[in-house]
Amino acid sequence: MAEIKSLNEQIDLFRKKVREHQQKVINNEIQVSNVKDLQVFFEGLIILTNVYYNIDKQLTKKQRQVVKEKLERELSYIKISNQLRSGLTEYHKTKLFDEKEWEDFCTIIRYQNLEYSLGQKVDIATWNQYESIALKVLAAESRMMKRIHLSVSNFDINRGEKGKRENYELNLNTFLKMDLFGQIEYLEKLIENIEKRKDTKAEIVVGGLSKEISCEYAYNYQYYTALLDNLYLKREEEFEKIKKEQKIDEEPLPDIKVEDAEEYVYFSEEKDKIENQLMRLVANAFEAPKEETVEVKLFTSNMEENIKISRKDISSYEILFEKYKMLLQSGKEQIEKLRQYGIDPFKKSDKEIENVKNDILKKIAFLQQNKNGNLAIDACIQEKVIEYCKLSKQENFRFMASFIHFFKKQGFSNEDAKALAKLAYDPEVFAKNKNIPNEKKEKVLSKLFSTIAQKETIKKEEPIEEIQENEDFQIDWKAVNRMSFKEEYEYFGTLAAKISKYSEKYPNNQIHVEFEGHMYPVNEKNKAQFEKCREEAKRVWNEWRGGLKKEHPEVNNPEGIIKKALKKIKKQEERMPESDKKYISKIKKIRKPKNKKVLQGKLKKTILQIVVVLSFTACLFVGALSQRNTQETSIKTGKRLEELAKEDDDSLKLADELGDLLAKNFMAQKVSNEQNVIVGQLEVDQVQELIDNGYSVDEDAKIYENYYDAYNDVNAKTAYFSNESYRDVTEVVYKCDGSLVHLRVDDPDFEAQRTALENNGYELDSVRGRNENGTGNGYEGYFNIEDVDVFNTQIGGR
Amino acid sequence: MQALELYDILTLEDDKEYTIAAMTTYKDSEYLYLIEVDKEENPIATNQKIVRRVINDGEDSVEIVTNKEEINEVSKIFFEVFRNMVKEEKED
Repeated sequence: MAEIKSLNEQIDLFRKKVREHQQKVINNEIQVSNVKDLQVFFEGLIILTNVYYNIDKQLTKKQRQVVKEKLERELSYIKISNQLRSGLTEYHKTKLFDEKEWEDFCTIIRYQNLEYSLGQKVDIATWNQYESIALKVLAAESRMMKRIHLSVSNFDINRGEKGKRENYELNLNTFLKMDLFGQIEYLEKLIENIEKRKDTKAEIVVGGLSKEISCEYAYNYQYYTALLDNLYLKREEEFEKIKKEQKIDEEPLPDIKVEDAEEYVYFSEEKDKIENQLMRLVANAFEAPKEETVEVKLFTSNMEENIKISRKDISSYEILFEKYKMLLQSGKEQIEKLRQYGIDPFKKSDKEIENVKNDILKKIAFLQQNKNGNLAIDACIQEKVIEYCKLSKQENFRFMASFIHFFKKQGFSNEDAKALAKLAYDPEVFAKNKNIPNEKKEKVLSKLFSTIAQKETIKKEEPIEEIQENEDFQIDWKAVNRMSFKEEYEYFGTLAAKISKYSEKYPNNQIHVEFEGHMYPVNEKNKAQFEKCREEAKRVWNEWRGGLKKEHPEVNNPEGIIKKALKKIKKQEERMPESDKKYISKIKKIRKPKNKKVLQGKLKKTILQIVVVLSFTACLFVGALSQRNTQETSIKTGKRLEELAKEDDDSLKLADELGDLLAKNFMAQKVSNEQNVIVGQLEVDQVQELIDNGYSVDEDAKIYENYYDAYNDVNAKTAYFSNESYRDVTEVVYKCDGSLVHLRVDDPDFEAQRTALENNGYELDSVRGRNENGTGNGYEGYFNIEDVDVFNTQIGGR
Repeated sequence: MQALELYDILTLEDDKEYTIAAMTTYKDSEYLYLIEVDKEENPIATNQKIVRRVINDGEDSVEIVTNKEEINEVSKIFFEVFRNMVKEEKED
């Protein structure tokens, strides 16, 4: 109890100080520079609040209420002061107000005090004072807000840092001054903040009233707007209650005359007043001559708009209204879809709005029926416009939020979705825009509706759940590059889900994803990679939207994370063994040959060659054609083919001549006659010649693609004859009448022996060499004629 | 998939024309031995392919056989087909 007593004392002291300060502000006793004092008060308030929270549990409900009420006024004062101070500090880059700003500031504070007094005890004198100052305050607010340039990104949503309960305070003053898009974005941010902390309870505070919400439901605008509506209503009810108690008659609204181009300032919180006045304005416009237009300038705290109204314009509302109803229908369908996803966008308050809407629609229908009856046509239209205004306002941003979501889902970019939603939300404003000719307006609307209708039709024809065997998984990169990160993530998420479904349904079909003009298979290996990258994207996205990293470098990367992932896949693909690659070609055309018999005849020779080639070189051709070949396959297949050839009793002669022939005429080398190894690529004409001469393949023949492989296989050594290796000639071979003589070049008698041989008719046949990289022993082998040149260069040929 | 006959001429994505020199079925797939032909329909023996018929993106396509086991088996079959053709030719 001592703590409570102490708290009360602190509160009283604090209040006293704040009010003294406030009074000085109002009396212009405090100089501009002293605005810094507000910061001191603000810090004092924080300390006090902490004390309050520390003893919160000890307080009874009544005590808590007393403390809250006591502090409310000061809290409000400090908050608005601090907000304006920080806002203007940002604006001026200094801590000082100018004179006009100071005046505006004082007006706002005075107004707040009056408002607070009315809340405590309403009397006519205070009310009149309150009313008289209202317009000034709004003008001041308007000026202040314009200077401050509040934007969504600058808003910090207050959140408790400790404890299980999270408090999300919605700054009502700021919120109401935002346009609808701002409000939606603000809410979106709020929702996302809460969404992150699903395991905790959250409390949302609006206009001093708070409501506990369960975070698991924090997933859509509808929930929040319903919540806010309830809080607004409660607040309004309280205000109305106070007014009724004091029996204050509502001031009559001023008549608006069409002849006057007047300026009106509307208080944004008093929505009904604005609507009524607007309706009167529209209604009066019908009294104007047909060609005459009336220009009215409207101010609200955050909006300034010139509106021209004429009868001509109003007559087109009828068409727009029909379209508006269509949009409502689309919105309903969208809501139905949300329900299918397990989201119920309508809460109790929505039902009330639905009832109002139904009443309005009934009234419109009644007016429609009486078009040719008692009521004049103009009056009918006039009534309809009024009802339309009501209807439009009732929808509020719930409708807008639904439509932004709707258009995004339809594939529009974020910006386009907003623009379209704006149009769909308020075609009236669109219709009134004097910069857009009526014809253009009609065209835009027609296009919008046809787009929606078309997309809806397409959707009905091609339900997402139905996956076709010939499903196209090509990525629309142009569209992806235009997407925001969130949209990109969703796009690939949908794609990945579709691929998964497809894989389940058609497990034997290969899926390809197009990237930079190439089709890449999504196989088990890179599918895992793809998923890994998606997870990475998800992580980054969560960080970004959760506000943990406001400027994540990857978020603004136009290529996006998924594209990077595909690049990785591409690299992986390039590293894949040849045997895992797929080469697919579409059959562009099928036709019959000009003359089948002629073609058949022409093919005979080729087929014969194929038989031979397959016999000799096994898979060389096939391997080369199929872009892969292995020595092992060649050998195996070659052996098998030879066995088949044997069965046919073909004459089997693998002779030295074959090797010689190959060596002489083609880029081939007979390495070892004893082992029957043939190296080199056969050409079909040559093979034909061999066949004509009765050649066949020895059963032990080995066939290689190149002579390096062959040499190494024969000698069981590492590469010796590589292009890069430098070869030292170690031995030369002289030949005469079939006999060979080997001479070592390091033999001291080499030159003498060589001269003797040459003088006796021997000719240089070949040379042997040593790899300089050899381990001292070196590897030796025959060189071909090119190496004789090496010999000549090194040793000196004759 | 459209039915194909021996010696039909296919135009592939490389804009070259190939004639079907042989056809066979292996493990429920249809394999073709393709040989390129020029405008006068003369075989170009240096460009030959063993392919499998597949449906890709809903279109009739061919996939070049690259799998080690598969190419081994299919090559044997084609070799026998061609050998028989040569044999029959000699007998005639």
